[in-house]
Amino acid sequence: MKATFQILLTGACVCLAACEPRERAEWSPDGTRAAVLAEQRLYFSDGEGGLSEAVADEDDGPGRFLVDAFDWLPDSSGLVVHRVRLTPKWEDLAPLLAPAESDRVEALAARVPELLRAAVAIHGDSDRADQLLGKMAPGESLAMGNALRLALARDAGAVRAALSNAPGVLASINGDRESLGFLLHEIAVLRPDQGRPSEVIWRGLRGVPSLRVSPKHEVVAAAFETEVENQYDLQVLSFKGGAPLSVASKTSRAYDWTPDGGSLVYLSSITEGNGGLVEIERRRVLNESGKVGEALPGAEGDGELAYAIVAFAPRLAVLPDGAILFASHPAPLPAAAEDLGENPRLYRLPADGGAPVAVPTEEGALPMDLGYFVPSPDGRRVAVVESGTDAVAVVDLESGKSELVSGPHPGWKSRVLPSWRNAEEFTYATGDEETGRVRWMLWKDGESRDLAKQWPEKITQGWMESRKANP
Amino acid sequence: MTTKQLEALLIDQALGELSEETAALLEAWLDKSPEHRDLAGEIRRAVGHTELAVASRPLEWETEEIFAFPTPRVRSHERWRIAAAVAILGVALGLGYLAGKGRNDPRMDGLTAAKSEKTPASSPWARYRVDDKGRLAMILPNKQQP
Repeated sequence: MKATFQILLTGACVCLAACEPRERAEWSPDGTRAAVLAEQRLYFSDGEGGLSEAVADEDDGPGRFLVDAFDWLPDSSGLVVHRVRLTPKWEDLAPLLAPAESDRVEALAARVPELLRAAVAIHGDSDRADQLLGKMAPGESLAMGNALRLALARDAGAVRAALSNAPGVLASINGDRESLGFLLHEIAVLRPDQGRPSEVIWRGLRGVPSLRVSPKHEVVAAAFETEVENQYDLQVLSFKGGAPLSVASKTSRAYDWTPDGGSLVYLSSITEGNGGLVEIERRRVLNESGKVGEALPGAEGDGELAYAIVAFAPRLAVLPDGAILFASHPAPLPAAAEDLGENPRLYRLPADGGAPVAVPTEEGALPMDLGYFVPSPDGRRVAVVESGTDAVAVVDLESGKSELVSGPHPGWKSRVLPSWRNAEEFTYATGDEETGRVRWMLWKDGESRDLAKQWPEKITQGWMESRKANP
Repeated sequence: MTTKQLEALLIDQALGELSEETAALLEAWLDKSPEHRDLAGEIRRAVGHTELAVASRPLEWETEEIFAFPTPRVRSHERWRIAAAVAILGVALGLGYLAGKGRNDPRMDGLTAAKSEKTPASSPWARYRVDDKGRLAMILPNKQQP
């Protein structure tokens, strides 16, 4: 049983954003172009493999920004992006923050030498000062990072003196000194065709690992980091700015809008950690006019809809008919050991209630870490990848029939979610064993072609992990 | 009453932590609410099944292994719920994930592996096992395609 808990803990740690498939190349709702994220810069690609110049990473504000996540506007005219703004001077960044947040950084900066001494005493030496400090204040990693840099700028001698017993941390500070900067998170609306600068709708020191734009209204839902790993605050923000409206706390990163764009369906872990026993909830979040109010309006049908067991990254999607697609491990208990299935399955929860219905896939047709799937726009099929290989499959949600589209190729692990261009075509990444390149393939009717053949290699290289295959 | 509140009351009742008066009120409320009565039945069945699984190993993992997770701020019945839910997950998944070790692996002493024959040999997906250090390792899939 001890090993079982180690499995659970390890599995939760494995599923960090850096080591799992995520949205990096996404088609616009009208299928005319794709937004491509490479080295934290955004590009646009047309349907025939062309690639634009990188979208500007500066505006009339200080510093530059690094894009982390994005989602298309429903009319395909632009994107909502989460980005990190990096500036060399605290004096330029501080005015952009709410006073409470900038005051917090100032207060922490004044205590950095003490905090470092305490952190070294508790945790010992480390490779990085910001990670060491982050252990002292979970959920405030960015505030701590800014405080460290501010303390170094104001009194580097005091900081170094506090690290006399931590040569590793001291070396990291000395080595990183030139690349240090001050950071904050932003959510902004980007409309590249209008030639206007992006419109910032939120700024702060909390990370935003995911966001999703309402399909009907100028509202975006976002998961904000908390002090507890793998627990987030789900909030909605209007494109017009203003205070975010809290939908739920202690949720996972898995949520989606209902087709009318007014309610959110989300997964919340009942057990601590990433996944485990989860509940699926639905809440009306916008009022009748589609605006973000000061409180959740609520509606009939709000509440807990189902429970599930999730081994890896939680994920759900709302289909066009309002049904909720999610993965769960079937675990009818009590059961003999040999009767327990190894693999999770996909389930559909009807929009108007009722029991979840399993998609009738064969045993082994779906990956063990079933948390990386994307339904087609018409809700008939789902494209599936996994974190452990670059295998890609497409599954018919009605019949359960699955088709292996690509892979697995030895030594390759996908870090890109598939994206449907329309109901018949989707793109995915795969590794080329001969050239070592990462290809971006467009699949239709059993055939695939490479859309990224003419792209610079650096664009797709970060989309997969590779290692030399064992002979 | 929300589903969570109902679940908490039923668990307290199963643990004998509900007063007679409160239990009577709960039953009276359920009598007037057929849909909640059905839900209560489902919850009670799940609680009964989980209690058996938890009771099989009640002590040896309750202390050290619980703290392998981020320490929860829990009330007594929530700690039980968490333990039970983890037991559900552990029994259902741990056996499956350990399948890759195989029955004849000496490192499997004291552990039970589910049969791996259920997964077709041609499945392209990776399979996982736990190594000696408790790290989740991936076994390369059986089928490889160009």
